Amino acid sequence: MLPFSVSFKPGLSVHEQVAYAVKKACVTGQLRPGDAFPSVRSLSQELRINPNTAHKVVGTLVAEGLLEVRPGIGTFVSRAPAATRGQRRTLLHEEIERLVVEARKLSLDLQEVIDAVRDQWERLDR
Amino acid sequence: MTSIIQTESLSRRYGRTEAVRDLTLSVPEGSIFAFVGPNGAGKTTTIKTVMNILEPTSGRATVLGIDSRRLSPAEFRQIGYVSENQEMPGWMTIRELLNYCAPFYPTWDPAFAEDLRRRLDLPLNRRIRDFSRGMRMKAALLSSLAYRPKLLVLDEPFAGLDALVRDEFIQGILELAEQSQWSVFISSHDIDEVERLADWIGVISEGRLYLAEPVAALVGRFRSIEATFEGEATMPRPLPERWLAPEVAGHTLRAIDAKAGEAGGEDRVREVLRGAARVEMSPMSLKAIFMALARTFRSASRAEGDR
Amino acid sequence: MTAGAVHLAWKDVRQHRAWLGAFLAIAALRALLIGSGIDAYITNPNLLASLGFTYLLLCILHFALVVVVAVQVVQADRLVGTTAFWLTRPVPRRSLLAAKLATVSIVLVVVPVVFDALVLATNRMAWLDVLGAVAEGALIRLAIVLPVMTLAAITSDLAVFVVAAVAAFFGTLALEAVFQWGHMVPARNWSSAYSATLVDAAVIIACAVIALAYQVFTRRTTRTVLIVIGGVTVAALVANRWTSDLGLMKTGLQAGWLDPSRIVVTMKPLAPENVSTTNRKRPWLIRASYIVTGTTANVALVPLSVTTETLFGDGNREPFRAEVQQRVWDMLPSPPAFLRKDLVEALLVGTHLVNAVEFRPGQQMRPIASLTEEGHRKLVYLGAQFTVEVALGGIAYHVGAVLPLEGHGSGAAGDRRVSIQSATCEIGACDVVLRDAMAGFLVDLRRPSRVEYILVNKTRGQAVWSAERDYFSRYPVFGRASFALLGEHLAVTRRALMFKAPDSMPDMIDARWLQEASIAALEVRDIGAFTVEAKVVQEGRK
Repeated sequence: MLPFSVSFKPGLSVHEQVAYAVKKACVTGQLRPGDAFPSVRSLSQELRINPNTAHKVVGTLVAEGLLEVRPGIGTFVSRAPAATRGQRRTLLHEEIERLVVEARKLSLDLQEVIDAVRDQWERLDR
Repeated sequence: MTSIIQTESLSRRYGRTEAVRDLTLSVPEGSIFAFVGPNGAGKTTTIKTVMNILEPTSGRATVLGIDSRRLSPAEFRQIGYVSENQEMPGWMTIRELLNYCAPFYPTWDPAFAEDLRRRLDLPLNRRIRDFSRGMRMKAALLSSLAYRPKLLVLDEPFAGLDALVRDEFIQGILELAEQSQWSVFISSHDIDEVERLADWIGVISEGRLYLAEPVAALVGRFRSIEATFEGEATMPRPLPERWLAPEVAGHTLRAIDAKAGEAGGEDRVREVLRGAARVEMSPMSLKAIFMALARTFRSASRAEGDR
Repeated sequence: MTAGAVHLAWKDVRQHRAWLGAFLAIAALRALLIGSGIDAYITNPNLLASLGFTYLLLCILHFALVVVVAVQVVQADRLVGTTAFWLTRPVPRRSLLAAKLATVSIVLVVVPVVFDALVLATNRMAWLDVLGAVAEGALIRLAIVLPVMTLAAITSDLAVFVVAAVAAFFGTLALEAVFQWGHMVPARNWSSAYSATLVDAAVIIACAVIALAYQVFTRRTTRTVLIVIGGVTVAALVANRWTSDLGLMKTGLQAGWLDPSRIVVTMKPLAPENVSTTNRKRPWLIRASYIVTGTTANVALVPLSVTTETLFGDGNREPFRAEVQQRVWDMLPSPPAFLRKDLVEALLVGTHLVNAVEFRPGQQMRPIASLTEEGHRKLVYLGAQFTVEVALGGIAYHVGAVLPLEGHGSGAAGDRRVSIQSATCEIGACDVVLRDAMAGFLVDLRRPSRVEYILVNKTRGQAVWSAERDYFSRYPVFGRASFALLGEHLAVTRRALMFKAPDSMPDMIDARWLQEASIAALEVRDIGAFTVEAKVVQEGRK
């Protein structure tokens, strides 16, 4: 079992979706710095994705500093500082984009969108 | 990039029907190549010709660098082949099957075989003829994976399998993921199962290759277009060649553009639809792309038939 | 390659162990039945008939299993179609071929041949003869099994195989008919017929193996079928046209038995003036006689054919060939016309045959050549010379049992057990029912043999041959294979013989005579043929 989950949506590249899921997991605390990260084979098997893609994902995440490879031992989540606000906001980017596109399709204006968001936010507080 | 399978103008005729026409295809080494097309498109014939089960009528195929007609035990030691058309020795049990196959392959790994067998949930001591279809396919897969082949060829492996077995099957295939330079050529009439697995896709219809490219490129260039008009929606004239399945209803026009994702593609779309109030372009799943293509093939062949 | 072949062969054995086991059981049972020779000791005719029927069933099963096993083994790794398991596995073709050939040959050919050898050996046959017999047996079995394998290799399952086999059978018959059209199968003697059989078997084996190998290596079924058709054609051609005698069959003429060089045949034409000339159109006859000198005891010579060439003074030649109508063997139902009296005496140990009635001394020969009057005149007046080539068959006689009429005695005559079942005699004639059995497994590396019976009264020195031969019923207990040599001819023959007093002495056989009489059984064996050339000088010229 993987320590994080990925929900695949059609149309988006597998690579991006997995990378996003990992980043999200790091932010929400599902993956903590120092945790062992699954091998390429595990990733590929558990997610039923092309191993090349899994390999690329790991490569990307290593390049971005989210993961580090310790030779002979394995891959681990790096002791990176907690995500900045900006980084976290970036993670929401997709959802926000979708929200905005849908709102515009329905010909809502910005204020109506903000009101709806506030409504939902407050509902969850209760 | 070397090709693990290469065909050049491959043709195979049965009597007066050409099952495969002038097929030129390269399967890159190290890729998972999905070979998809409607039923009867020529996928199985292509695979059988490549595996030297059939001989090409013209053209040639090369596997692991060797002409398919000259494939010898040396090459088959590195090839795994699973097909629902292939007979399995029904009188054997799994244990007997593995013991029978092992001596043919110097790279046979008994521990790996045992591990795979457990993962695939196959009993050691039941005769294969008593197996369900799904178990038989898994047994075939097991006997083709245990020696870690360089090339795995799967001919419609998922046909008739239930979802769980399909999943086990895919997991089984991915067992080889850690070894380097391992390629998979998998044919299917349904894109579903291979969507996440494949990094290359080839589409065949009525014996001809329609496209062969990386999945990322294909998904990258296709877009589903939805345009809203103030008045009655009308088809643009002339209709762009790269559009598939354009339809109009009321104020809406829907179409699929095969090249919208390329550089300048979106601009071209907006140019064609300059009369529209709003144009939305969204990426498509591989399945949706394939469905659109399949519909195009069908209407084209119907038109052919009517003529 | 051997390791691979063994691995494949072992798989085949395991897969078909039931069929193979059944086959070996049937083969063993059959060998046991033959080798034990129990048929000679059974007197109940119904039981004998049942035994014969059982054996026939076994033979049919045996053959059926040969076909089924061969087909199953070959079709286990199908060579036709696109779905066989081995097609995408690293199975070297030569290993596949070797494995199939090995499995089938060992189980279906070698094992039964070994059984045969054991049976022969336990019947006290010389080892060298055993080897010769089993070599032939192996060859013939292979000539059956290999074409079955080839046909199995180009068909996808047993059902299709059966259809193809039936088609092939009728196709072969049709081919044979074509080859025989307007061209009779050439006359062959035993030896060259045997040679033809063995050569044909070798041809069939070679063609079958070639076709099988081609199919294994290329899987091009259509072309393999062409090779098969070619092979069948060649085999049919050989079967119908081969005439050379390769000398493979032992003729049994052994040194010391017969010295052809010492045989002189003299032909003396009778004076033509003595022949009736009332009908000028009637062909003239040349009667001739011959005297055979220098034979060894127990051997009689029977002319098979006579070829004469007449050389005229003016250089013309006129050949003439007369076949003695029956072959040696077939002549025996009627008493041999050329039996030497002294030979018969020697056979009937110590008996002096004074009046062997029905016994024609060898002084007269049947008319063997006829010329028209025209030709004859030519002969007489032009001083022609005869050259005569006589083909003679040799028959050896061995004295067997001498059985008294009373008491139902039995004894051995050569390879046979003879016994009197009943003897009903009255004045002047005697009806005897005999049982003549060849016990156990007889491989006839020599010529076939029969038993002849003479009613003999030693005290008075008289003998009578049986007047008629009635083959009352024949119980083919262990059948007879069709092969010339390895003839499993076990037969129990019941013969009803009638001995009649000769017309010249109708009262010869009376009660007293009968009390002193016994049945003498002579084993008669065909020992081969040879030709003798003789020159004839015409007497009474001018």
